[in-house]
Amino acid sequence: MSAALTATRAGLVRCGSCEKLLRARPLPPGARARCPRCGAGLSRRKPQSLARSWALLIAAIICYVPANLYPVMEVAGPGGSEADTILSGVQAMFAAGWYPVGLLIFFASITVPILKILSLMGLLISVQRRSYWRPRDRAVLYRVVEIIGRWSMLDMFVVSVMVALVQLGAVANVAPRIGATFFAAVVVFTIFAAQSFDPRLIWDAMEEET
Amino acid sequence: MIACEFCDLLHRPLALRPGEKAKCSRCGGVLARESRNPIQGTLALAFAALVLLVLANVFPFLEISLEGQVRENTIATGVIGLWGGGAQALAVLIFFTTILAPALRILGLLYVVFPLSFGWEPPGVAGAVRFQEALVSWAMLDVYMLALLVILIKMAGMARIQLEMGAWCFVALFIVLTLVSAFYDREALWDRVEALR
Repeated sequence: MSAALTATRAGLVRCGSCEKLLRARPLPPGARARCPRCGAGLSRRKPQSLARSWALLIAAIICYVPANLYPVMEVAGPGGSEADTILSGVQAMFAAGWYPVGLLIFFASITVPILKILSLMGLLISVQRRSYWRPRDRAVLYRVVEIIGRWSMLDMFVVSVMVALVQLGAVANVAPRIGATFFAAVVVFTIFAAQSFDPRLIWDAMEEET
Repeated sequence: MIACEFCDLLHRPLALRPGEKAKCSRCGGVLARESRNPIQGTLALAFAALVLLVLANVFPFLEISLEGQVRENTIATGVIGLWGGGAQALAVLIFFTTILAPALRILGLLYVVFPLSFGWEPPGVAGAVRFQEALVSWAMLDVYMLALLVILIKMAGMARIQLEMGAWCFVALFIVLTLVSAFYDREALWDRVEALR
């Protein structure tokens, strides 16, 4: 594994924008190399990958607490009003017997955000500790996190349609609550955190020692 | 030579048949893919997507009737409802992910492939390619479609709910956008630009 021929080892840089392989040249201090084909700034790895990814991930973790403690929407009808958090919304669906929909929302709103936060933390820590543990599985994990992250927005879209749809005066009214905004912030922060992470660092950690 | 986007390993490029993908031998990430018709195919589908996007926004997608009241719903009414309900930040995000990002993505893609299909390099092609690629993960109409399904099931017991024209535009748009990403081929796009210079 240690002698894998990577672009970096061969003295090449891959343009992150148009994929062209270019010969890396020493630069004067302060200068930024640009791709001759598409003009994008060149860098061997995503700049400040670990610091940016950690910062965004921590922001997501902070928002995750109010996102789950505060209600995401409130349903008001003649019999009084009822505010639902993410978890109580899922519980209500199970109680009403809507198992497939309940499972879907449970997966999108609870499983995916938690798995995403834990996976990114694991990836960041493993890279910082120069781990040799299952690099290929970690590479797959990263790609899965990147693909499924956006599906957590599901419940927020449901809230947005419900708010517009259920405006029936005295019969029933649905209003958004602050938890929804925090939950959307979690999704946005984790998407940016995943984009900032550079999966090539997983493999770099195993190479530099030789 | 080509380098893997996900692990930097160098590979000798293979000749791929249309529709085939090459995967990295070390990390399993997609190295390269060969589109059947990267420029014209993307152009045709992006045009179809643009038309469907307009229709999906103009026509209501759901109608609810409860105790004599009837309401129709478009994507915009959801955004306005959130804004009016005090969740402005969320309203902006939903507007961006379901209306602005898909529209700008399709327009950016058309700006690139329409002139290229006629053998002409549009000014600022590199910026336009980057712009529309950055929007792909923020255009969440596929997630929105699943949300509609959830609402349909959730509300079915409480009120009379009916799918309207807009919903079918959504389904068609989802299919067309999936095809757009199947035809889109960044490498072929840049090969065409280089050939024109």
